[in-house]
Amino acid sequence: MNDKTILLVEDNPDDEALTLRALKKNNFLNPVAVARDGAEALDYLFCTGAYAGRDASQKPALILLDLKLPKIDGLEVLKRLRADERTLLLPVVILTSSNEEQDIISGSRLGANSYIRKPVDFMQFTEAVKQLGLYWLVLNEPLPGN
Amino acid sequence: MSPTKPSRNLQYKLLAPLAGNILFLALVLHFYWVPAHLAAEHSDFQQAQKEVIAALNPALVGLLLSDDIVQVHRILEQTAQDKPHWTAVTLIDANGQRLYPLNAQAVAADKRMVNMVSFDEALNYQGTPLGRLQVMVDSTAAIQEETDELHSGERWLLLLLFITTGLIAWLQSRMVTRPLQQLSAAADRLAANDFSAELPPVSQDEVGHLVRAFGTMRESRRLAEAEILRLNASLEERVLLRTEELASYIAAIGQHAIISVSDLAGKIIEVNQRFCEISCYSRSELLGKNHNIVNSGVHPSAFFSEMWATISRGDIWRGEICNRTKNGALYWVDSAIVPVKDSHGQITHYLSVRIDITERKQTQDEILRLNTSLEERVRQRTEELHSRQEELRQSNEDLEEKNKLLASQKVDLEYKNRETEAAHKELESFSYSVSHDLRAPLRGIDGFSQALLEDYAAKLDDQGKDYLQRVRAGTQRMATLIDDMLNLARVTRAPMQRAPMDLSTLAAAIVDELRQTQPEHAVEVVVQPGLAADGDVKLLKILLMNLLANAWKFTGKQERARIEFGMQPNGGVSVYFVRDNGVGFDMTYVGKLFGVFQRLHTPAEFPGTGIGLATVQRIVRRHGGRAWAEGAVGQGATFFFTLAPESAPAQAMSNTRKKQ
Repeated sequence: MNDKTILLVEDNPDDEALTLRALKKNNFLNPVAVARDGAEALDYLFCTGAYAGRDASQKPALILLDLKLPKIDGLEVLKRLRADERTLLLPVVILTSSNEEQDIISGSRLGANSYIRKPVDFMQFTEAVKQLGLYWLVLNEPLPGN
Repeated sequence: MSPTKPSRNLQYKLLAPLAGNILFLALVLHFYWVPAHLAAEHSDFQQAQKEVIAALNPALVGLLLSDDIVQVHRILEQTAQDKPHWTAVTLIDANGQRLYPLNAQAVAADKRMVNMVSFDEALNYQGTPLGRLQVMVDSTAAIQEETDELHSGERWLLLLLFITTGLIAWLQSRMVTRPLQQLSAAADRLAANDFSAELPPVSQDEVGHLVRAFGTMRESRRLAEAEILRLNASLEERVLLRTEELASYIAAIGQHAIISVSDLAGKIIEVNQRFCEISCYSRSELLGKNHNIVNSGVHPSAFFSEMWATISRGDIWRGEICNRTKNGALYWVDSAIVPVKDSHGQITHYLSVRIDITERKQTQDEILRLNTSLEERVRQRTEELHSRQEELRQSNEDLEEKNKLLASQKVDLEYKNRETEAAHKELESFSYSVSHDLRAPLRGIDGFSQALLEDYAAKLDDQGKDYLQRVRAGTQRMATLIDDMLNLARVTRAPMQRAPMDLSTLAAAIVDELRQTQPEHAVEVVVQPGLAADGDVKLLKILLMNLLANAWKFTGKQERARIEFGMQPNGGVSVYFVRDNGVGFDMTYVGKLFGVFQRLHTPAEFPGTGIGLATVQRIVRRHGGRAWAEGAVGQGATFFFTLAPESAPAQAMSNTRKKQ
């Protein structure tokens, strides 16, 4: 479909597999980079640590961010992302199990573009992934320079 | 000042010195000047006689020496004839022998005449007396002519004086007195406001000046008078107006107040109708009587002494007086007695204005009586209380003992409270973990089961597929359970934000949501409009959601499903209800309805977790209310709830507010 990279920040391998499956089932064939904790996600985005050699100009078109993550949690990742000029404008969709009011409010306040609670029913999950992929990867006009 | 006839004093005063002067001059003339002249005439005449007699002396001496008596006689007779005033001439010799005249009787007769002057000339020759010549002269007759002339002159002089004086008096009167009198009369008439009096002609002297000045003054006075008259007229008009105004005020006051006027001795001069009505006396019975006609005898004499002292001093007296009617009944009035003064500040009479306060007094007395009885009761109760107090003191001591015990228990409790708080926090993080971590594996189970069904459908027989479907149903049911449990926990720990809100609007919004999510189920929903409530909007939304969704679910098999949300007041508390015509329930198990995980239906009949009504129960309890249900199998169910305590709603409401 296109080659816009999606960054999936997810520590649970099951959820990772299911998300990838959902994307594939909806025919989103974009390359997906997976970061398994918050630190790795930041390394990827700022081309540090294991990703020091990555081309910094290649920014992901969409970040799917889980909140409950080892090392650095999702909200912290979001906060640092929004504090940096390079990643300030990247679309971030929070994809999490939590529907705690506090998490929703904090996410929005820190600059998340969407908040989606992962449904247990895989059919519903697939539908949700389809909707957000359509919106962010197809309908939404990307920012210039990406 | 009445005009009097002008006195003639001035004329008399002016005439008096003039008349005095004339009198004085007349007296001097008559009693001094005329007599003095007459005396001088007498003296001159006598001197002349003396000289005549002396001249006779030598001749007579010679004749006597020669004893020629005849000659003597002849000389003397001749002399006597020449001198008609010589009334008697007597010559006597040395021996006393009368030689002349021979007729002595004539001499004697002449001697009886008045104003006689006698001369006695001694006839001596060389010291030898020869005889004596004695002559009697009537001096009055002698100077009669001069005397008459003098008196005549005197009369003329006096006449002249009188005429002159009269003339002066006439002139004075004409030029001074009369104009002044005229002026005086004009002044008198002016005093009587008569400006028409004729003024004397204006002369070129002081009087004329006076007349002119008076004329000017009278004119200005006339103008001033006219102005005063004009002002008076307008003043009188205003006085009339004010009098009428006052009369209407007095009439108005008189409608309400009891009014009387009395003289300085307290005698009634005037009363109004109200006075007659309240005192039961007629007007004629009251007029002329002393005010103490209505004296009740209730007040001591000192009361009235003080009152009289106040008003006779000129001050207003205020006070409440008890009076007696003609029939002997007592009545109370609130009185004001005002001393009415004339322009000199002298009190002329007293005006009394009163208001009937009998009823108020009776009420006061009643209150007083009640108070007294109340005091007595209070005293009795106080005594009772004292004995009770003693009992209480005893039990207090016991209580103190127990208090000490409680204090130690309180310490334990506080400790436990802290423990509870810690446990609560632990529960919160536990809830979060459950929400997040329990769901993750479920998603895996469901997701991979689906993957199996999709990717390996060819390798599975129907039973295998059925098992996988059951796995998926189980996971989804568990997810619902987890969510419900989370909600229940949330309901318990979320802070309350009580505020006024509209339950009807909220219910309608939930019904709309239900219609959208389950459009296949047609339900007639009736929401009573305008149901106001005081509560936490989030919690109440969960509450209504649960009740309405329940009703929705349990009417699912009904052909004509009907749900009603409304309110019925009960003893000052609003009882809200959600009524449905669904499957209902057996009242035997009503006690189990609100328990956690308690269900009256199998999941096959109606899906559910058994947490919804427990959540409802918690929300209602957090609002201080109560939830209960009524129903029968196949005849629908009604769920009631209140949001405030039913026994003392207002108190509880305010308490809840304070806690926020």
